[in-house]
Amino acid sequence: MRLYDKPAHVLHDMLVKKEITSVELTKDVISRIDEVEDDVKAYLSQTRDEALKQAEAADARIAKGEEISFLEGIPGAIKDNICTKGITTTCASKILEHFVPPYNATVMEKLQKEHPVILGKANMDEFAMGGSTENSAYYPTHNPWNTECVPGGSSGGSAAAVAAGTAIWALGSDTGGSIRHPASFCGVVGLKPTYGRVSRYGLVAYASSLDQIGPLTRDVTDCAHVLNVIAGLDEMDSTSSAAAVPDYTKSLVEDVKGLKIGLPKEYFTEGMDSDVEKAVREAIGKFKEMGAEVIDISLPHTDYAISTYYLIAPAEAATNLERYDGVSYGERVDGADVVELMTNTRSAKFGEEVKRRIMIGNYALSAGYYDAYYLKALKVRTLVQQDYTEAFQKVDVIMAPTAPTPAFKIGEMIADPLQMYLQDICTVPLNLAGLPGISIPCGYSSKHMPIGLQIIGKALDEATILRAAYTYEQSQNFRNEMAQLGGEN
Amino acid sequence: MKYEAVIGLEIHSELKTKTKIFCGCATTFGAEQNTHVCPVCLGLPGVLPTVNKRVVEFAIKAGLATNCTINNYSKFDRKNYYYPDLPKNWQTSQYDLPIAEHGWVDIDIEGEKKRVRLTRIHMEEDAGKLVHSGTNIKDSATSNVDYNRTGVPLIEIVSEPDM
Repeated sequence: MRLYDKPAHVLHDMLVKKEITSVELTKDVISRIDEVEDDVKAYLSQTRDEALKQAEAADARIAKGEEISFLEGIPGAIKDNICTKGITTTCASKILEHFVPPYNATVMEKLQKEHPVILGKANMDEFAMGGSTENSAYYPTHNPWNTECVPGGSSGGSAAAVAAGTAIWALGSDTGGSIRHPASFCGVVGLKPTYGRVSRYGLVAYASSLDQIGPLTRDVTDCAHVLNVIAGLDEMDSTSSAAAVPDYTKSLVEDVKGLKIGLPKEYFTEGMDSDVEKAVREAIGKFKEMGAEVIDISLPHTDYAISTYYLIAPAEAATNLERYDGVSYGERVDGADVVELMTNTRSAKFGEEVKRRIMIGNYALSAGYYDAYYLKALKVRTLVQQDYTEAFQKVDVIMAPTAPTPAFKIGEMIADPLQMYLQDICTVPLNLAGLPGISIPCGYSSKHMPIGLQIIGKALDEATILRAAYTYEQSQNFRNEMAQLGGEN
Repeated sequence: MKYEAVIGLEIHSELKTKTKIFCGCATTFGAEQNTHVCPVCLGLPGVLPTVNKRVVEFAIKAGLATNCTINNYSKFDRKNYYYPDLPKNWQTSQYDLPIAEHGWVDIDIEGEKKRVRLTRIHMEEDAGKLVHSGTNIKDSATSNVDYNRTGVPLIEIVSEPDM
């Protein structure tokens, strides 16, 4: 029986009804990995033996008649910048090639209480810097819908695994769009929670004021369940929110009557990709049909968001990445003295994009430039936040494309970093404002590549964006359409 | 020509808390190397600091004892420099908004009262300890780092050049 193409909630019911076992399910996903992973390369490392042990343990609990959690015995993948105790965590960088964290990220501690099966660590852009997973120091991941194309980034491995059926669910991280963008490119659901909703303890820091961990799943139902597990206050993360965590599965109702949807005119520009515009506008039309009210709004500082992000994020990254120096952990390239040791290690082991951003960051923070660049960017960030605060006085959610284009070919954009940065144009404003956003499939390009609709919510209002996403999802069939990959599909 | 000595002091003082400034590791001196450590004070990838309330209380007490203004809004900043006894290659300290400012200490010099003004008192973390095989880092074949001391809470007391 083919199980890898089913969402977690269907598999959970089958496990509870004893129609399948977790070992059967895990083996099916593993054989799917054997079938397609050479073409997709979503994983940096796999933990099959441990996974099967976890599956056996889940089956033992089920056999005993114990009540099982939603994710119990269901295989998933974890982005390789989330610390997993005892499992290499490389951030897709050479500098952490053999790094095995002696501790678990808080999200892993929370997950493990649910007894999922962890298949391995997912590929990504190095240190989460990128929009295509081509910046991985190891290899690029390929989009399951067309393996000549990128899966998006930086959580490209997580998104591709879920899309290819080599993971039923995955965790990613989002600093400028890195969950939503690959979700859009790979035709899966990806949610970036409100800043502070999910603990960052154990997430290798890229930009501390922007990073968040979130789920990538087949459908909105699974997304709500995973969010339930990972959300919540963490005493190890002083930036995590003390706000109560609602039961996000209560948002899985089909109701958008009277929902006020804001359409920011700055996101629907003249030069935008016609396939993306068509798919997104059709989706908005569907919402109208279902009783929502569409209101034109303006987010006037949208134009400055990319520049603001590409000053703040590199500045924070420049300091966050100082610790990688070959002294006490990670790889080391020796030198005549300690300065040479550190310099040699970082020069040899950091990739180009990482070096580029560290240099941009240090430049923006340096004396003489601090005020003109970094400080100015912080001020513009406040203006971007204010745009949203004002807009949310008139609307409940904001909708826009997730990415400006469908997935492009591997190698197409990598030569021009600035072009690549523009991929984030629809996603970064959210990170700057700390707001939650979800990307759900809403159509295909003329080349049958997935297109994502982005739904943006008020701070800590994941419930409303999940409800809107669920309602639309149930009116369409995208969640049942899988990439044509490998022999059987 | 006559020269007059004008002296200001920057004094780092360890705060006598049970645990470190940003994690729960013990601060006791003299433990076996690298035993009072954890992912946070080792600066491992992914860790975050959690402020020790007692550190803030002690710093405020020091400020009150020296007639400082205690700032309601105060923050930590990163002082970035590379050195092997500094795990993250930055020291979490306070830059422009320290916890206490503009205090003074009155001292007695041969019966006369003299006021030494304090510019500021701020909180910061200590670094680790380097043990060199030679006399210093430059002429040693190897150096060892003991991270027990990283994250031990300090206050830095800065005086005006009043002495």
